[in-house]
Amino acid sequence: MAADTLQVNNIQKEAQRQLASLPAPGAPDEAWRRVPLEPISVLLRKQNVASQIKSGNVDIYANNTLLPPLDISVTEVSSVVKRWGELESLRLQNRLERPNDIEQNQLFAYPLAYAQSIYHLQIAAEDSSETIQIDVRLNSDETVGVSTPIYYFPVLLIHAEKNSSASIRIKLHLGEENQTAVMLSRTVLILEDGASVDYQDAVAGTNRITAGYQLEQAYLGRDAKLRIGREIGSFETGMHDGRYALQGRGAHLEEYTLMQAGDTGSSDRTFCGQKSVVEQYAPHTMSNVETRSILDAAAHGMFVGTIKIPTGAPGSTGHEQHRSLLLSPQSRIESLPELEIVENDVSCSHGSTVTELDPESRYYLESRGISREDTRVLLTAAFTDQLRSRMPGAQFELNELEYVEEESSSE
Amino acid sequence: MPLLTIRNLASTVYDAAEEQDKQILNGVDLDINPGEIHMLMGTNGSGKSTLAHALMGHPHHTVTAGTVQYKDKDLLAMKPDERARAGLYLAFQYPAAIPGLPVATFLKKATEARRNEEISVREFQKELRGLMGELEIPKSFLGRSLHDGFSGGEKKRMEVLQLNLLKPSLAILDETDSGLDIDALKLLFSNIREKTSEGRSLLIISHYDRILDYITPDYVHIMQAGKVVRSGGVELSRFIHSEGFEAAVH
Amino acid sequence: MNNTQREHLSSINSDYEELYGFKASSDYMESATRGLSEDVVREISKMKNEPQWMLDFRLDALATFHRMPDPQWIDASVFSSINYDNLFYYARATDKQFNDWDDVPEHIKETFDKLGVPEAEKKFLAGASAQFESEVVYHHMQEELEKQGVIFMDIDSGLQQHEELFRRYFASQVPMDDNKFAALNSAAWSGGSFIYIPPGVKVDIPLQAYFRINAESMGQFERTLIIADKGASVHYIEGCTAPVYSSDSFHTGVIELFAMEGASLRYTTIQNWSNNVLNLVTQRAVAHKDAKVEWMDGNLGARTTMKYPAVSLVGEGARGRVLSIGYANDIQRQDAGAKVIHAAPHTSSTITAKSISHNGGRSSYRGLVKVLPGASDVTSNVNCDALLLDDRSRSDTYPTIDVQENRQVNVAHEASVGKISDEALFYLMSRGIAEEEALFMIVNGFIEEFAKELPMEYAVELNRLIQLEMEGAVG
Repeated sequence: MAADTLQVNNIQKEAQRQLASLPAPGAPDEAWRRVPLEPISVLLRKQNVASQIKSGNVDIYANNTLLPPLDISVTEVSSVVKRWGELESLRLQNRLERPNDIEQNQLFAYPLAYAQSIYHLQIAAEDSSETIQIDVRLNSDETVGVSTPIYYFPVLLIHAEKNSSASIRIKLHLGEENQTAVMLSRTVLILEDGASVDYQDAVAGTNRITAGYQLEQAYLGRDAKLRIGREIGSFETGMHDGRYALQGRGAHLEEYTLMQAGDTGSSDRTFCGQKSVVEQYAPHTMSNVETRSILDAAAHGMFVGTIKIPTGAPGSTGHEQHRSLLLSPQSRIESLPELEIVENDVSCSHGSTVTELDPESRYYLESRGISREDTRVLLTAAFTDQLRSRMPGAQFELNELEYVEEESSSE
Repeated sequence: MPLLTIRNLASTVYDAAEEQDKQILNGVDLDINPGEIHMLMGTNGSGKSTLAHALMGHPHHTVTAGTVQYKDKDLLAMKPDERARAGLYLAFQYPAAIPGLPVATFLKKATEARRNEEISVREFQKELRGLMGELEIPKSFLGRSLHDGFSGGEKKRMEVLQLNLLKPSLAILDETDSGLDIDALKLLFSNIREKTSEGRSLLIISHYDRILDYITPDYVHIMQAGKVVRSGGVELSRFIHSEGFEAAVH
Repeated sequence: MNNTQREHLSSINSDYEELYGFKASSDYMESATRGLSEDVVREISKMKNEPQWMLDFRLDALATFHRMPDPQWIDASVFSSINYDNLFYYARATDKQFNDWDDVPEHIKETFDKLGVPEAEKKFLAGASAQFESEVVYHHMQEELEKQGVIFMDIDSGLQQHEELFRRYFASQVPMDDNKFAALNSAAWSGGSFIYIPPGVKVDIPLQAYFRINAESMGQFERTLIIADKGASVHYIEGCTAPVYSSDSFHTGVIELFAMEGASLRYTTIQNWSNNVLNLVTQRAVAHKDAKVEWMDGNLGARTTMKYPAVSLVGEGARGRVLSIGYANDIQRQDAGAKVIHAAPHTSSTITAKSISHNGGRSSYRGLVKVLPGASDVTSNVNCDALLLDDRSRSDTYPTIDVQENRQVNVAHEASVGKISDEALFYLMSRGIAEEEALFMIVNGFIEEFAKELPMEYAVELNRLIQLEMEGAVG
C-alpha cells in the first residue's frame, strides 16, 4: 500500500466530510430511485466504513508500468488536484440548475474517501499520438469466500495537457477467483485547450462484481475533443455515471455506450444503468451521446441522459440517441433522455426507440435460407456492431456469416 | 435609366464552421437595364450565389464596400421585405422548409405584400390554378407545408410559380437549372421566357449552358474570385462551353 | 399582452341561475368562510344536499390531503405561495360582489377590443354578465341532446339526478390519494360537468362548457366526469382562448374520462387564466377495447400550470392521443406533458407536444410511456418540439420510456429544441413579408397541428392571441 501523503489525506478527509452531508442515492433523483442497492447499502449504513469492510488492492498500470499515486512532494501532482478544483468551481458557476435534482449523492464521495491510492496519468504534448494501455487490476490478499464481498475503490486522474493527444484503452481486470466484489470507482479526465483524447473502456475476468458504480467526470477546454467508447452490463448491479462539462469554446464530446446485459437462460434479475449529463457552457460546443441497449433474460436496463445548455453557448449542438432491443419477455428498459436548454441559438435533439428486430430484415435473411436463430444472432450483432464501428479504436471484426445493415434509413 | 447599378460591391459571409467572416465579393460591378436578360456564370466558389444573397439582404452577409442603386434607391439601405415589395425577386437554390405553413396561405400573403392590397380568395385561387397548371404542379401542393419534404425539382417549380405570381421587375434565378431533368428544364425555362414581359429583367445564375436552348441572354458575365472579370454577349457562353472558364477569362 | 396590466376581477353575475335554469339550493351562505376544515366540508356537502357516501368520501379525502406531501418532481417554491387556510373553498354566486360593466378597467376592455371579442362575450369573460347570445343556442342544443338520451349538466346536478351512474364512475380513474391536489379537489370539489353519452350515440357538435359557465363551473375545484358508453362518440371543449380573469389564485381540477368499448372521446382544453393563477389539473382517461381517447391541451395562461393528461389503454385495440401546445411568456411556467400506459396488446398511442418560450418564460415537458408485460404489438410515438424565441427563455424535456414487454413493441420518442431559423425568416421577408408578420407566420406554422383540430372560432382566436403575445417579441 502506498504511503499516504498529507495531500492525499486532505483529499480523503474532505471526501469523508462530504459523505456526511451528501444524501443517500435514491430520492428524488430519477436515475437512482430504481437501482437495487443492497450490496452498496452496507456502505451507506455504516460510519467508519474502512475498518468494517474488507478492502482489496487496486493497482493501475499504464503500458505495464505502475502509475504513480499522488504525492505532494512532486510539484506537478498537486497542481493537477488544484486544476481539478478550479475547473469544478467554474462548472458550478456556469451550470444550469434544476430544482430537486440531486446532483451528487454519497456514492460520489466514497471512492475518494476510501481509496488506498489516487493514481495520476499525465499526458504531455510531446507524448502525443501514443496508445496508452491502462490496466486496472483488482486483487486481494485474502480470499473470504463468495458471500462476503471485497470492496475496491479505484481512483484515476488523467490530465491531458494543451494540444496533447492520446488514445487510451482501459481494461478492468477482475481476477479469476470465485470471489464477489463491490467496486466504486472515480475517473477524472481533464482536457486542456486543444487536447484530444480517445478513450475506450472494457472489462475482463470472470470474478463476479456484485455491484459496480463507476463515476466518470471530464472537463473540456477550448477546442478539446473527447471520444469515449465503452461496453457495460457485466455487473450484477451496475451503474455508470458520466458527467461532462464542455467549458471551452469549440469543445467536442462523443460518447458511445453499448449496454449488454442478461445471460440467456438465467432468471436472476440484473440491473445495468447509465447516466450521462452533458453541460455545455461555451459557444460552438458539440456533443453526441449514443447508447444502445440489448437486454436479455431478466435484465433491467436504464438510461438517463441530460443535455444542459444555459445562455452563453450560441452555435452549440447537442444530440442524444438511445436505442433499445429487448430480447426476452422478462427484460425491461427505462429510458429518460432529457434536455434543459436556455440558449436559443442551438440545435438540440434527442431520440429514444425501443424496438424488436426488424421483421423486414428477418424475412429477407430467412428467405435466403438462414435459420431463424442465426438470423436473430446476425441482426443482434448488426445492432451492436453499428455502434461499435463508431467507437474510437474500434477493432471491427465481421462475423463469419455476412451480416446485414439494419434499418439504415433511420440513421 | 438603369434598373440595377452595382458599383464595387464587396462583402463578407459569416462561416459558422470557422466562426468568422469570409470575404467573398471583392468589388463587383454590374449594370442591368429594364427588359434585359443577363446570365452570370462562373465556377463553384466564384461568388455567384453570394451576390444573389447580398442583393436580397441575407442576414449572414455583410457589405463591406460599394453601392447598389435599384430604381434610383439605395438598395442596401432597405430590409429584405422592402426590397421584395420594390420588385426584386430571388428564386432560391435551397429554399427553407417551413413546416405547418400551408403553401396556399404563404402564396396569398406574399402576393398581397407585393400588390399592396388584399385579394379575394376566389380570384386568387383562379389565378393560382392557371399558373400551377402551366408548371404542372398538382393542386395537392396548396395544402402541403411549404418546401417540407419537397424534392429538388418540386422546390424549383415552387420558386418559378412565385416568379409568375409576384411579377417582379428584376428576378434573380439562383441555379434554378441545376438538378433538373431535361423535361423539367424545358418546361420551366420556356415558361420563364414566355412570361418575361416587356420591362422585366432577369439575372440568371448558372454554371451550365443547357438553358441556352430555351432562353437567350442579352449579356453574359463571368465571375471569378468575387468579381465580374469578363462580360460579353451570348457567344461568350458558347465559348465557355467549348473552351472552359479559364480560357474565357484570359 | 402586458401582464402587469391584468387585474383581479372578482365577480360573476348572480342571474346565471335564472338564465341557465340551474336549480339553486335554497340556503345561501351568509358569510364567506375561509380555510378548509371538517366543518367547512360538511357545510359544502349539506349545501349541495349530497348523499352520505359523498360526504364520507369528502372527509376521507380531507384527511388524505393533510397527510400527503407536495409533489416531488417540481421545485417546492411553486407550492410555497399557496396558503390553504386563506382560500375560499365554497362561495356561491351571491357571495361574490356584483360588478357593473362600467367598473371593469379600461385596459381590460381594450384587450378584448384588440382580440376582436364581441360585446356580449366581453362582459362574460370579464365576469360582469352572462353570455346572452349563447343562451338561445344552448337551449336549442339541450333539446336535441335530451332527445338522444344524452346527459349534459353541471356536476352537482349530475350527482343529484343520476346518483347510481355517477357513483359507478366517480373517483375510479383518479382515486383521492392519486396526488395531494387530487385529494384537495376530492374534499372540496364544486362545479364542473357531468356528461353521459348512451351506447351508439354520436354527438356531432362539440359540447362546450362555455355555454353553461357559471360561478360553480369556473370554480377552483372543478370536477368533471365524462362517460362515453359503447360505441358512443363525443367531443367536449373546456375553456376559451381569450384571457379569463380569476380572483382565485389557485385552481386544482380533476377530470375523469371513460371511453367504453368502441367509443370515441375527445377532450379539448384551452386554458388562458390570468397571471396570478396556479393551475394544477389531474386528468385521467381510460380506454377500453377498440376505444379512442384524445386529449387536446392548450396552455396559454396562468402563472404556473401543471397538467399531464393521461390515458390508460386497458382494452385490446385501444388508442390514445395527446396533442398539447404551451406558450410560456415572461414569468409563466408551463409544466405540461402526457402519460400513456399500455396495459393491453394491440394498442397504440401518439403524443405531440409543442411549446414556445419567450421573455424568460419556461416550458417543460414531462411525459411517460409505459408498456406493461403482456402488452404486445404496441406502437407509440412521441414528438416534442420546443421553440425558444430568445436566449433568456427555457425549455426542458423530461420524458420517461418504460418498456417491460418485448414482443412486437415499437416505441419511439423524439424531441428537438431551437430557435426560429434565420433562413426561414429571411425567405419569408424576401417575399415581401415584414419581419414581425413573418415571425408570426412561422410560429403559427409551428402550432398549426394543434390549431387545425380546433373548431374554427377557437382556431381564429388562438391565432389572434398568439399574435398579441408575440407583439414585442421582435427586437
